[in-house]
Amino acid sequence: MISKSEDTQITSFLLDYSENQLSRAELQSFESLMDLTPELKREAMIGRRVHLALQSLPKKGVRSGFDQRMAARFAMELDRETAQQNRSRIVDRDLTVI
Amino acid sequence: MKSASVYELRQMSDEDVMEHLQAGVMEAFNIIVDRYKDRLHNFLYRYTHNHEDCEDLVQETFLRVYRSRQSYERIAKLSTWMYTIALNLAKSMYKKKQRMSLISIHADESDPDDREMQIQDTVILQDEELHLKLSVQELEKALQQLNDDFREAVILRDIQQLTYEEIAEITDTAMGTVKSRINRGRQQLQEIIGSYVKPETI
Repeated sequence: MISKSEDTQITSFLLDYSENQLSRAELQSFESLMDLTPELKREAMIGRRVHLALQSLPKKGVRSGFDQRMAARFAMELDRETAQQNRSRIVDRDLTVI
Repeated sequence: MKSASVYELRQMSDEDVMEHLQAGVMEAFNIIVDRYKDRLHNFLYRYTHNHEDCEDLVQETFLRVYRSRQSYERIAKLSTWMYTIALNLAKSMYKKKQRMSLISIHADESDPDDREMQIQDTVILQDEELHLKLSVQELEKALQQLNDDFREAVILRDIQQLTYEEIAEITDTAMGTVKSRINRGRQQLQEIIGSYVKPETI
């Protein structure tokens, strides 16, 4: 029966193994453990493989013209903000007059 | 606050740029947009699978950053704060879409990256069963089928390459839970992919 802390530790090892983050000593001891536990080895291999595959997905950047479209939307936001501030000023002024 | 030139702003950390935005320097907003537009698009695309919807979400994220600028506190990294906003927007959009219909993963014809592409597997595996040929579309489709918690953890780690600490903060979960979700998410992805890979590709 694996305790929760052992399970957490094994998960950390699995992730570090998948991402090539283990030191040489850690790698050696983890490989020995994997040799004894085929299921762990399988899990480690899958983790590494899927991690690499996801990293290789093509990056999706913004389309051309994004800056102009963003600037237009931001300008509308600034107009909205200014209009809101003006409304607040008018209300404040009216309240002062009253 | 001492005024800064655009050049000086460009040299600053995200958090310093944000402080200038809080002080009313509008150019700071453009710098934040410039630094994060592609990263956010790449992240949000995994939820929308459509450049137009994705762009809407990216723009909305930036507008919310601007509207909530005064509530940002330096105790958090700006990137973490922005990803949290983006993730919340993505989740609500995703739920809305799921209610309407299941999102179909299809090639976006305007996108040259959206084509069948074999991902080279550089890991030498003993187990022949694991030698499945992965394509971009299969992976994207499998990502959509992942449980929500697993998907966000896997995307933030494997696609956005954020640290475990950052992911824990963005998803508001303990680091141990984040690690477990990443590991389980990767295992589940393999199961999903395995279930629809044709026998001749094995």
